[in-house]
Amino acid sequence: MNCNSFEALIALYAEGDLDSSRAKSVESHLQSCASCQRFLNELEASQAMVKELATESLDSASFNVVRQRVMQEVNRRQAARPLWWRFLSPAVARWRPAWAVSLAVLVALGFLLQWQLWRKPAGSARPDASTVDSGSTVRKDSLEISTPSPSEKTEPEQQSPRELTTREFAKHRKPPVAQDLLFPAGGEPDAIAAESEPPVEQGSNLEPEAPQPADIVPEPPPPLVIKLITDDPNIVIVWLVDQEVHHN
Amino acid sequence: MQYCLYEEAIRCGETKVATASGECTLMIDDAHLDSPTENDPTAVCLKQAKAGDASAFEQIIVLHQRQVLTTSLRLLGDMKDAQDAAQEVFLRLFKYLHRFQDGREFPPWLYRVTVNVCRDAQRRRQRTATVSLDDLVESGEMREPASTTDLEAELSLTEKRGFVAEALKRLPEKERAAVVLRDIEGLSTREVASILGSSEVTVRSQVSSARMKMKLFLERRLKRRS
Repeated sequence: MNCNSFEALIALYAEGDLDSSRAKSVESHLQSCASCQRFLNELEASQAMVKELATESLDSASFNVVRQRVMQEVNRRQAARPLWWRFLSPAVARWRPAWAVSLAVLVALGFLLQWQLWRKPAGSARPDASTVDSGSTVRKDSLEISTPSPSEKTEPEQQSPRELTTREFAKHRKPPVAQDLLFPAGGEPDAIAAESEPPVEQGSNLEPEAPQPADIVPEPPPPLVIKLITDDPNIVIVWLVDQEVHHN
Repeated sequence: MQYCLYEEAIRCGETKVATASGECTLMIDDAHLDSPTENDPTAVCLKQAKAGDASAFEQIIVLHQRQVLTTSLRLLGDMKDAQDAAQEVFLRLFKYLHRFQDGREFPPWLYRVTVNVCRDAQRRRQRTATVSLDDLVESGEMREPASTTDLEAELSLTEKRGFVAEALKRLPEKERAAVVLRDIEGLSTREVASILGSSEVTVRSQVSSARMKMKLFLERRLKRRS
């Protein structure tokens, strides 16, 4: 390390800014180098001049000018503030953490409420067969009556429901034997009343069977299935009714 | 009442200082000296000033105006510019008073604001006509070896201060800030690094370079005067 490199270290050494190991290195160099020793002496002299600035005291008029101008501006700004803010700002400043926490809680509650409101309609779109939303309107004239077939029992959602109004059903149906047994007077069933279907062969619930002789006792019919279609296409009310056969 | 700074007030046992709007009572009575927080009059004044007390804010100015104005003067080299900068520092303090956290060290924060305000003022001023010490050193004008210790002894204090102020003005901005805070304000290297937002190694390098440049400049000035 040459003397030029040492000068930068000497500039720090003069004010005690070097660590002990570097200070020892500089000291050992100073003992053997007269030029660097002279540099140190000159630097200490200039540093003494610089530090004399710290003892300089300014006159009070210089401070007063600054203070008066600042306070004039401060008073002007305070007067320009709205009256309500002048009363409120100390409370806001004093309880700043409390305000921050309260605001955070309010925001969190707002998000929670919004989430609940968003979630509620999505949840009501998936009702099960046993529960029906009280708010949904039941279309009473839209009835589907069928007997469960094996395919319906295994894959009910793949079957497209056959919808018939009660009038269409009454018009197009062929009266089965079981119907005669249920309604011997031959009267028209009520709109909502369960209508029986004749026992059908599995897989064909649309074609009624041919009438059987009167002396043959029919087998117990399969349970009657009544589907009530509502305005909501996702809501279907299903009744399963056991049929009774009356023998005269 | 004769004007006195806070340090003098403490030393003299005074509890009042003269301000622009009359006398201000310093919060330094014995009751406030018990707890560490209330031991600091600045902390008490800050709390009151945050609550909207203008006289408490004026007390803060009284307590710290020497720090702000002298530092601004060293950094800018002109009293009028320094007063403008000091005014801006205290107005920024008033504006962002609510952001200052209780328990935090106030003087370093105020030094940082002062350095930033002076740096902005200097950039606005754009005094390109000023010859920097770097230019003088590179041109070889300041390489004359001289033993100036005898000459220095003959100088008046005012002349010395004028030379030092001129040397400071010619330093690069960052080196000037480092050497003012370290050598004139007497802060530690760590504190200077914290205020300037740089590392201690950088501050040491800036201080070392500034000291050598100022030494050369002062030698040159003293030699010319003789």
